[in-house]
Amino acid sequence: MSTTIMQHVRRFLAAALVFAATGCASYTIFGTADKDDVITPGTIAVISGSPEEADIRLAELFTDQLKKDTRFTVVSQDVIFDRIPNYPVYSFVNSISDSKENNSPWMPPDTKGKIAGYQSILGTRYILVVWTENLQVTQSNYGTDFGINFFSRLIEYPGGRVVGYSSYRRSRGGCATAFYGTNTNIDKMLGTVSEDVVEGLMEKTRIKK
Amino acid sequence: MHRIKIWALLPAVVFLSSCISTFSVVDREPVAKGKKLAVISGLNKPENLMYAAFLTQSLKKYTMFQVMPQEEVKARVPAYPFRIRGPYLSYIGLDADYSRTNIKKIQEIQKKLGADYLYVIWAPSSYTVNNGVIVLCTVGQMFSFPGGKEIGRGDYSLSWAKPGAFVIGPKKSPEETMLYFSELSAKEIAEKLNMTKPGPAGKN
Repeated sequence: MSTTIMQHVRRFLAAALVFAATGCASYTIFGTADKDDVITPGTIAVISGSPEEADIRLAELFTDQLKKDTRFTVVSQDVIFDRIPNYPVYSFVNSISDSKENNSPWMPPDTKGKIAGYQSILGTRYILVVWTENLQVTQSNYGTDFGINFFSRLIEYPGGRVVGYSSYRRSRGGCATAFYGTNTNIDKMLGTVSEDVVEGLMEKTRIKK
Repeated sequence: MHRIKIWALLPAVVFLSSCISTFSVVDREPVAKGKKLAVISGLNKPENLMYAAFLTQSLKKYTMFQVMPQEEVKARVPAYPFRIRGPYLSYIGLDADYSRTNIKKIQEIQKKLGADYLYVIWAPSSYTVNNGVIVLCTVGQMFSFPGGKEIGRGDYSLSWAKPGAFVIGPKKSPEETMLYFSELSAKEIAEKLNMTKPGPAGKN
């Protein structure tokens, strides 16, 4: 019971933080492309959208979170690194995050093609591509505030259709940040992103453990 | 590419300081001269590979290790260079966390190389200070084999001025800076492991 209340409080706080950070801009923690889309348990690999440290770390965090909370069979990051030479070498995603379509399932055909190449090596039913943009650290009278834009695309195979997506800004601030260094605060913020999104994914699908 | 805005975190950059420490001994075990050492780039980024090449050259010059050329490392380890999870969190600058290293991957590499020591170097991130100085964050760990025990480590930053930037002090290119720091680091490794090469090259 108390867990449920805490979950509601956490969701409310997450939504409030997102709203505060994005103002009136539209955002999606996790949405399905079509309201009738059903995401069912299967194999999944989380792919970093670029070679940036934050994106590679997010792929690790999402892999762990999906393993912990869902019935997906999740490919480990070590397997992805072993099987795909020079992974993660592509920046798949700049054209998406810079586009007006970033808060939608849209993905350009050439990006879809590159991700399909990864999927053919990994052989999973789903590929979840995750990436970030615009990491900011600002100092105020009340301490240090951190913020980052997060995006994802969940692609289903065969077919290569985008069935889910994310686009939102996550923030971390207040007195909690005073106890940690910059990199640890950013790491904790990325951890919260993976928790938010996997929770959103479970709400809209049938994958909860 | 991330567009990182660091309003509050413009650190003071200390140029080419001779008091910088690039290596500290973790496990004081005797190191025999003539043992094989290979430098491994922990990431497949150009600046990381370049610095690994300079370290290879400098360790050969200043230490009594038998240092494996980077060409041999590439020939013996399929798909090298690739990413090895390293001892750090590095979104802005670098915080060393030596518990994060993927030791299993390093052991796999050693099996292919047959080296007695591996010195793995990571240069995961760089940032620009006041539009004039580029700072490259590095962290390295040395392992002995068989066993893969960590015997030394160090994290430090390299910095150089952008072309045309107004900077007080000597302007060095990235190559000159990497050579300077690789020599500084090789001399320190040699001294701390009692592996300094006799003769003019080995003297500080």
